Amino acid sequence: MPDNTPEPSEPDLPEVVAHADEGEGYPCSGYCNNNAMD
Amino acid sequence: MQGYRIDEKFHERILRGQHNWWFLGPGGIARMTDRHLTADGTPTPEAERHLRACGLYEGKSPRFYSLTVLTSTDCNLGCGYCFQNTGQDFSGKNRPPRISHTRLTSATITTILEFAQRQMSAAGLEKLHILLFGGEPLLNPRGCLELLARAADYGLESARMISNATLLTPELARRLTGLGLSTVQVTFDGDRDRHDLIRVRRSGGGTFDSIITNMVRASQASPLRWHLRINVSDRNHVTVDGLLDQLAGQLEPSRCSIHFAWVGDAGIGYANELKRTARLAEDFLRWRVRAREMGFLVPRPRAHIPCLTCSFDDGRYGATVNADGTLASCWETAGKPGWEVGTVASGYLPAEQIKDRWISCLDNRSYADDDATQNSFEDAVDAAYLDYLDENGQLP
Repeated sequence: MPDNTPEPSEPDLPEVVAHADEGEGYPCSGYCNNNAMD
Repeated sequence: MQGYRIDEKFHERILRGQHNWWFLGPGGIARMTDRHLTADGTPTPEAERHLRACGLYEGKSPRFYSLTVLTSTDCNLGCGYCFQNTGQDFSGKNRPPRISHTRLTSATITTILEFAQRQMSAAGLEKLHILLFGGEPLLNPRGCLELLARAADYGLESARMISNATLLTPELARRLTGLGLSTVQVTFDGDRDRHDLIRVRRSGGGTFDSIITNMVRASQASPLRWHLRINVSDRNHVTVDGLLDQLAGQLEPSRCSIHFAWVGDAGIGYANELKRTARLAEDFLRWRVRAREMGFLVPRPRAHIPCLTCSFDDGRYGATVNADGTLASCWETAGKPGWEVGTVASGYLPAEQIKDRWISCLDNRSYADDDATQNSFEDAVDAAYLDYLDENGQLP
């Protein structure tokens, strides 16, 4: 008999669109010296 | 001493976009729907597990020790909003009184670098990043050059400078970049005509043309890159679009990152009455979009990242040092009597003694809007900008 078991659906999870090492950093609105983590 | 770990200081942000939610974590950005959030607006357990598995909650550990050094507390400009003003100039001559004169010397450089070495060893950091600051740091060009040159023996990896650029010569640009300087942050206060009413010389007159000329010449003579800080206040916000046109026409946008900064009421007698309206949020979005389309590098919104100097009250990852060797928690209090938190010679004072002097970057600012309004405004602008990037296929 044909297998009518439905395919399990993909879990509904957030979609990652960018990682922190991609693209630019964002400067503090002051004069922060945060280059060490860019 | 505080026992904070660096990862305890990162904070994610969740912003409402036009078609979805944006999760901004220390490790990156994710698109979320209502199904991924609980009733109180936090990620569901399943969503959070997924985001953590993808590394979005993980912030990077510092790679450098971050040292901010004021090479001079003097300045050749007389901007009314400056946080280093100690009063107003009621004569109208643009010479507001400032914090006391100090100038970085060779002897103090020795003590500063030895302090940095101790701090680096304690943190297990082998690389050093220096931010040249002031006043106007180029009122002491010799101090800037000597500090960078000698820092090479202490693991100097890179350096930046915040300067008004009115004293930057091509020769200085060459020498400083040869010693590791990569980027100079320069502020503009509106279009040419408006800027020249705000960012004025203490000797009289505007500065726009000389700043642009110096930047162009320095760009021809060296590999310097620029970060443009565009100040926004009630006095200049209507001219920002015109300023962008002027900057794009005279500078190389591809060598410039840019951000639009709210002017806080840090200058004595100064008040920025601009309020964060929906219309102004549209303006901030439009400026970012236009700047990006002109070729400027517009930083992507991100999670709350701890400041390496003011977020840790033991100088663990960074320090702010005045030209005379006194330590401050932040650039804002450097050079101000009563705000010292130690010296490079003796180290930081006991935590109990300095707890009321340890402020962070924005603690002393006041604005026309309350904190909640400020946060909502920033979230709205950042969400709209992410929507724009997404709609135009520019994420990442």
